[in-house]
Amino acid sequence: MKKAFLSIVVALIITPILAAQHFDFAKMLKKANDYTVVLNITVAVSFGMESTDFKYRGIGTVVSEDGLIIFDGSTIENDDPFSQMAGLSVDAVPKSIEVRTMDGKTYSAEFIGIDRFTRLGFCQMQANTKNKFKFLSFKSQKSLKVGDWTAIFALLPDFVKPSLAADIGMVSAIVSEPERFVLMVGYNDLEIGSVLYDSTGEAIGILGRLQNPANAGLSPAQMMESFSQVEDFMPLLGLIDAGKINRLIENPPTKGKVDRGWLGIYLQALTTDIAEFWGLKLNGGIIINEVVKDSPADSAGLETGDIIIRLNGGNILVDREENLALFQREISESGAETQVEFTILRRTDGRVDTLDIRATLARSPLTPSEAPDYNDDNFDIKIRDMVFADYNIYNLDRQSFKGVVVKEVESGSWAEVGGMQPGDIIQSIGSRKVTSVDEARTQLEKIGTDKPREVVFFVWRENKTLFINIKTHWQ
Amino acid sequence: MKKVLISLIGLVIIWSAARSSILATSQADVYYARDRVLPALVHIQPVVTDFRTGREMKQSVVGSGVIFHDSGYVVTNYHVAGKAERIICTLFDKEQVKAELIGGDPLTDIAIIKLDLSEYHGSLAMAELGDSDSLQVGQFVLAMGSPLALSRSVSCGVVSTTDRYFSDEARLPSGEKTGRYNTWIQTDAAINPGNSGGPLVNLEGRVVGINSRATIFANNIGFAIPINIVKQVIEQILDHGKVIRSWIGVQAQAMQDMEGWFGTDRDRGVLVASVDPRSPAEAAGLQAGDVILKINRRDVSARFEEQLPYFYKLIADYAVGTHLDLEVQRGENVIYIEVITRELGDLMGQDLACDEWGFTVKAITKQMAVENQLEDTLGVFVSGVKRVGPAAEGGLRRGDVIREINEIPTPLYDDFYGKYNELIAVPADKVLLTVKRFGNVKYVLLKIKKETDHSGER
Repeated sequence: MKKAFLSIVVALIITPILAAQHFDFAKMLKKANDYTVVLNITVAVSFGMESTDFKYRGIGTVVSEDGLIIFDGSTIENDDPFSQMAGLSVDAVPKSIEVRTMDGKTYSAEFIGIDRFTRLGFCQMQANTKNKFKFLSFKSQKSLKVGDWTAIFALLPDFVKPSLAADIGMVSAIVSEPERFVLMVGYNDLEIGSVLYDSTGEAIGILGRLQNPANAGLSPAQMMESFSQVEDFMPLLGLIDAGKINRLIENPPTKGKVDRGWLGIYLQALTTDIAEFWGLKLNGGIIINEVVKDSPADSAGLETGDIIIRLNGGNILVDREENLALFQREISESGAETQVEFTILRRTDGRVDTLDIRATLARSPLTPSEAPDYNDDNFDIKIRDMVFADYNIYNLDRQSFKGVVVKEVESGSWAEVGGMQPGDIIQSIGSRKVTSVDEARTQLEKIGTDKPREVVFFVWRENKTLFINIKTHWQ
Repeated sequence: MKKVLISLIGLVIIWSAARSSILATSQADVYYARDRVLPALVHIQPVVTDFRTGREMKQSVVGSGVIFHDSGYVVTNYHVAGKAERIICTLFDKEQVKAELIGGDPLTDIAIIKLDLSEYHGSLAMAELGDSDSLQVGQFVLAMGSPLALSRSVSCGVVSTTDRYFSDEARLPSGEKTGRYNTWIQTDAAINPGNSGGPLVNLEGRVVGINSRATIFANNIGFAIPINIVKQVIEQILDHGKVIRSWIGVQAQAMQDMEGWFGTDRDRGVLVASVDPRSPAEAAGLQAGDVILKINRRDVSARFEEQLPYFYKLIADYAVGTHLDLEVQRGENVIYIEVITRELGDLMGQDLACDEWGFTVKAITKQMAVENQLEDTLGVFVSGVKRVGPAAEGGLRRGDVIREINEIPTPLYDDFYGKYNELIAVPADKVLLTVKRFGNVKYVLLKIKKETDHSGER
């Protein structure tokens, strides 16, 4: 934090010398004060049995009349693939969000969700009356070039008043791989989430980070395929552009509801070595390793072993596992119900056929952290619905295997004493089978009323099932 | 259950009687026991092979053993000699002789080796195997062996517990699960690494257990396999070279306090927690939640986890292929189910080090398939990948199942073995493996660099 503060101070000093004449900061600040807010977020972070609250303070921007706010979600989100793979639940859940406007009013807000690709977070202010908030609209700026200057207002530490300080940065590169992204220098990590202005004072987007495709937009299971990758250390800050933001504002990434496109294949990069081994003159492609039954890929007639070489007319040049995410992202961002076109190669007995295939994408399955959950205060356990990744990781049959996943077991709780562990999949509670959090909740609430002396849970753990007898101690 | 209950009552009575015998114990008793067993103590130094780092690694280890037969048979732990390639033994008179592995049983952690006495001119001592069922808590025992390779060491203590239960999820260093079919004698006689395989001896000078485990974070907590279990294992190994067990694929759970829930009487029945996929129990229709009341009209019960090994052993002791009539309580009904036992088989398959390709594989046994949730036993199981080598570079991982080489199926270990030898003879510079990983297919291309073939580490 100190470091960031210093760099902001430095920026303040050098600002007038370098580019002051390009920006009308007084006018911009006046506008910014209308829609810029300070978010005080309390995040409950739980790791297995442990649970701690963290406070996070950050900048937010009101983007709709009814009080939708966007902010940098990367600080509070959790997508830890390893723990999810291991069935452990490391979870960061925003418990409460306090919104403070620049004129000192406070509101509470409800957390909505975080976009997996831009890492933008969304929350909604709760106003008592039908408040109409002042909000910001973003305008696309397509003509940015290297050397152009941009400005932001960064959030100063809590003990400094007023809260906003201007900073400037320069467009340093317009990269095309792994995606089109306007890179900037002059900003730092702690300014992520601030609104970016061009020299005319127009809000053109939000300061964000270019994601390594090896890490962006992957489900935990897919993430495991690339966990040998070393994290990039060079901060790649730049513009999350207005187009993307506007799309997200229209359709925020609601927890429990997603609209990401999904094809239903397991995939592998076609390395040049494998291509050469199979006698294919290709500089990359996607090998389909498995087609999920009844998925869009299955309906479209894709088969295990097929090699996707074109998507919507564009060549696929995926020749390394790290770049699979580019393809996955394109599918994901296309959205559900979208039609996509593939060109595939099918190898049969030494013959290679080229086929064109159309598929209509489905809605992407939920990730474990998006799944609906429920906290039971008697047994002190948190449970969630099973998601696609659970079936995938444990190789369970999607049709026949049902249950709810134990996310957390509180230390010293009845459940812990009885031997329940995070990662257990509860298949029945008492004499009732439970196939969803809703059913489990109904059953647990009934138990809360009946107050039996003990409850027998039937759970699945590490390829086996067992009964867990939990003794109760009702007040 | 009845049997255990009786022996528990027995313990209380005998304990009060035992006080006087503690006082009566004299130095002479310890000398007596020492003289009867110590001459039969063997210091064992096997060279064992380990495949887990992706290549065949040889390692010299140290353990203990005791001679129980005048033709030179020695009982020790499986984790000492079960994977031995060659064995050198030092006898009590400090003479060294070679020994060969006769057979081993990872599930009870017992192995039998035979001394090569052709060049030994001393007189061979031999220990008498006692009765572990009559052991009492508090009874004096001696542990003999080579703690930290310090041979011919004797320590003294008491029996701390006669039937310690451990979860059968424990694994031997070589990776096999162990302990399902026995409980353990716990003792405070000092047991340290190197004591493994040595005898636990009562003051009558008879072997009552084979020392095999110690807790590394505690003092005076050591564990021995009861000799009555060991005697049966010895008999089977001498007869068949291994222990043959019947298997039905049921995971049982202690009933403790759940009788009310399952509607059974106290001390009656064994709760089925889980049924292994593709097992005889599954084929016969046994389900989780069933309570097995009788097996071939014999009452079975496991109210406490200490009783589970007896239940498993009861089934294991039937001849393979026996038709078992199970009386089963399911919900409110009592039903009868016939299960035909199959042989448990090897926990793990044969090892092969594919040095040229930089990994090791195991043949897949029934039990490996169950444990690793494989849908069948086809292919070979990658047990280790060398840190640097064609396999590591190609992305092969431990736990992958190789199903094809160059897109030619290799369902059996021998198919794989044949194809591997064929390709390293050529030698092929590129090999495509089709593997299954988490149930999905993956292609792994091995690029074999010829110049590094023979310069590899050894």
